Amino acid sequence: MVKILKCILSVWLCFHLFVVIVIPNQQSYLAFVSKDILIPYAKTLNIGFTWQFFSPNPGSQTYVDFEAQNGEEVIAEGKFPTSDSRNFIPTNKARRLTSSNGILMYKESSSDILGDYFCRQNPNARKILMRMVSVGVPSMEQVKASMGKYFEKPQTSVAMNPYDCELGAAYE
Amino acid sequence: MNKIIKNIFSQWDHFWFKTQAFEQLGLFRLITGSLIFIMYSFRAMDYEYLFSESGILPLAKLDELLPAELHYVFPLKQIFIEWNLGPILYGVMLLLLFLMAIGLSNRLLSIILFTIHLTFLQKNFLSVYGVDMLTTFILLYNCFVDSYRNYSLKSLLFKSTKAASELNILFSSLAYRLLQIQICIVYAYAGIEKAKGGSWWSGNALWIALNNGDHHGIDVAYFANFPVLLVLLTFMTLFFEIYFPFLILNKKIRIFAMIFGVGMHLGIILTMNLWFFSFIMVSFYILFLSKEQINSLWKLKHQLNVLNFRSK
Repeated sequence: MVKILKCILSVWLCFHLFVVIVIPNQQSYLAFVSKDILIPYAKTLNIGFTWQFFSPNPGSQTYVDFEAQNGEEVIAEGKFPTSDSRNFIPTNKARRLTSSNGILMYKESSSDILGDYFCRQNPNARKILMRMVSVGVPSMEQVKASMGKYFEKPQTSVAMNPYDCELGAAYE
Repeated sequence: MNKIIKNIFSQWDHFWFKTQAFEQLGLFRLITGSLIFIMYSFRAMDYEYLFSESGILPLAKLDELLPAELHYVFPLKQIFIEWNLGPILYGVMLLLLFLMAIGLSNRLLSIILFTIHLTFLQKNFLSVYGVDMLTTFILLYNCFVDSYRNYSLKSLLFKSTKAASELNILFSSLAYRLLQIQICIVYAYAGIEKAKGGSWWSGNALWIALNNGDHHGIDVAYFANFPVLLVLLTFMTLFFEIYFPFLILNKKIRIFAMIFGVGMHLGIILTMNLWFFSFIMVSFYILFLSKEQINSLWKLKHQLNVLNFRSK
């Protein structure tokens, strides 16, 4: 009985090890040819992670500046992710950041998801304007040279598609 | 030839199915269970934002985002909208985590816990970060393990002198090895993925990561005075992560690898505020300690407690 169980477990082990070793490298040939069995199994157990911590390069600080408008009047404005009291707990802050970075990675849907959320947060808003802001990192030399003085980090911002709250969709 | 094959099978059998590591598994369960319980208790404060329909990712939006082949496994619509079971399930998950941490759980409860954990991961997959990924593997392998023989309330309440059954050893040994291999995979892939990036090759990555305003634990501008140190630490991190499997498997250098790892994760805590991630990563090192090392660590902790009590 135990021998049979060990045989079954050994077969499963080989398969499971293959999945956990191959799936983080989803671009590999092995992952490509075995994706029909690999993905359903990994999806069921939610183990298809790529283990990319701060890689291939550490990301820059990114946030969204938004403005909720009712006609010409600005009824609310702010930053996303917000920094309310719950964010003082580091693990919650990290999770909120991950979630906002995750949304911004979906370039085509990010305006739609965030616009919808801001409309629900501001029931009187009719339109949401958003800009994605990325804060760059100055070089060590720049910071060293400006030690003790105010140093503004380089920023770039890109306008996102506005969101129509009544229509329930982002538009170009 | 026959002898060689027999030898391979016997080694396979011994490695996967006969390793008795109940002390390591017990302490690992106590520490990681407690950490996950505390972390997910904090996450409960953000329940509305993360998991409710008024939060950032209602189900309709989740449907739009997920490609068809990645569609979720659990009936989220029923659980979160029709039956409105989300908050109750979250409460049950916290209770099961608490039972796991104090050592009053079993395999069936572990399977239920793992399933509930997956349900919440799938409800908002965008908020899943490093520590949730590690938690997934800990809870998955915990379904196999009998980790309640040591460092548990169960072992205190029902003092059993019975030896572990063959099946118990078999499943616990399997999970023990899978956990050990998993952490090697995590480190190695984390290192290899970093090696693809220009900033890790040039030695600037740590400076960039430290300067990301999202993570600040302390003011990092001062580090600009020590560029060589930062570059050196960047390369050491890369080397440590890629070669972790070899460093930890070599008994002679294992302890030095662990000390470096603890230092690196302390640095991550201080500068990036990633407390739970670092603690859970370091907790995996317990699985590479011997039974004697764990017992002496436990005794040392006890002696420190006594000294502390006397000084008061």
